[in-house]
Amino acid sequence: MTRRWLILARMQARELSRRRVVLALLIGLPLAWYGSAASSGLDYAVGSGMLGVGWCIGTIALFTVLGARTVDARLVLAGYHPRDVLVGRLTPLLVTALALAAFFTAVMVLGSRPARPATVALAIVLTAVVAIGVGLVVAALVPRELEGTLLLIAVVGIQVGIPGTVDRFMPLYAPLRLTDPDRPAAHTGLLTLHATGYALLLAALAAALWYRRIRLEPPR
Amino acid sequence: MDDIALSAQDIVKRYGRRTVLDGAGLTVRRGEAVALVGENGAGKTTLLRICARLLAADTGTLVRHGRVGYCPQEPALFDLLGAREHIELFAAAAGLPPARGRARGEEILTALGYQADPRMLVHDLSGGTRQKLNLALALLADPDVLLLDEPYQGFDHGTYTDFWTMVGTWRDQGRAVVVVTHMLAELWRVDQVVDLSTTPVLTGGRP
Repeated sequence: MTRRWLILARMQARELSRRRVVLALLIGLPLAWYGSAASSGLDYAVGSGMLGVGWCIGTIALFTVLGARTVDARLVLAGYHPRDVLVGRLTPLLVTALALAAFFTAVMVLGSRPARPATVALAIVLTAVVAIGVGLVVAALVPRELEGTLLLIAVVGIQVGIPGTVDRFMPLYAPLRLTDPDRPAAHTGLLTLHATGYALLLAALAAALWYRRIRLEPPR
Repeated sequence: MDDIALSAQDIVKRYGRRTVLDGAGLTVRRGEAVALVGENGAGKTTLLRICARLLAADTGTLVRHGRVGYCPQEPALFDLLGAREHIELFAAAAGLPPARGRARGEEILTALGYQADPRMLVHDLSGGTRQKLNLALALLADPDVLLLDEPYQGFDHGTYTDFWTMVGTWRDQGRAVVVVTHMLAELWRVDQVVDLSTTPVLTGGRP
């Protein structure tokens, strides 16, 4: 018998595939972000494109979770385990994020000819994974999409606007640093660890908050 | 006492400083239909959600036996999935094999007078048709306890009348049925009326 989370994942994927405008924006917005910086000859065009990818993926994660919150509770009541629902939601998101990461790696490597293309690929994949975690945590903390979108704008805005002490505690710090051509190559491992740790921490936090939101209340 | 399917006693629920339920309760036996009435803001939906275990009471006790079917007031559906896909999703939740789930879903939708193509996406359906799907999903798993929050909103007259006839059928099948309603003209159809706007709880319904 099909695993139940697979049915949820399949339905989630179908729903997402029918959002054609959203899919177009998922590609178009980071392209615009990257293209405008690259066409101006800015040396941080790759970083700019990555922020666009991160923001779009975070937003899609946010809307996916918040858009389904009333149905998810009902699905659990109908018999799904909260874990099934979480994995069913997360899998299509992860697949979409990795597909986007692959596409934008190709675009930015071909467009900007970075000195370390493999590191850029790694940075974009890490951006995609961390961004899902950010979107999920924000979705678990806010009641509606508007508040969540504002929070995501704030995260990206602070990430860009405040280099220095605060910057290194931001979720996309490590992927962005990976694309810095002046960074010593020896830092790659540490930065990868930073991003992976951040992604795992965010995923664990999101899962805990989300589980509390959709679980059935224990009987008294 | 063995035939009690749902019992919620001394339920208290506060949202901040506002007390929505203060010692509310209801007891529903198998083969019994109960109407939950009260003015707007009386806590009917809150009590029903507590009975469904979607919401925690601050204090009080809840005892429930058997599988629950819950129909929320606002259709909880995915806009970009069709009726058939919803049925597949909810049938899997109930552990029904796909073919059986599909057959049961079609049967319920037909009984509710669902006119749309089951492949049509929810966001293309009329409000009443969405509500029919919303109700059908609550019935899909053959529940022992049915918690229905004004499930007939947007129904045409024929389906509305059929709905109340179905309440009688479900009761006769031995299910415990709770319907949140403002339709006081229909209260003769139920066995017990729980009025949240007055305390103590009124008991009425069919003679």
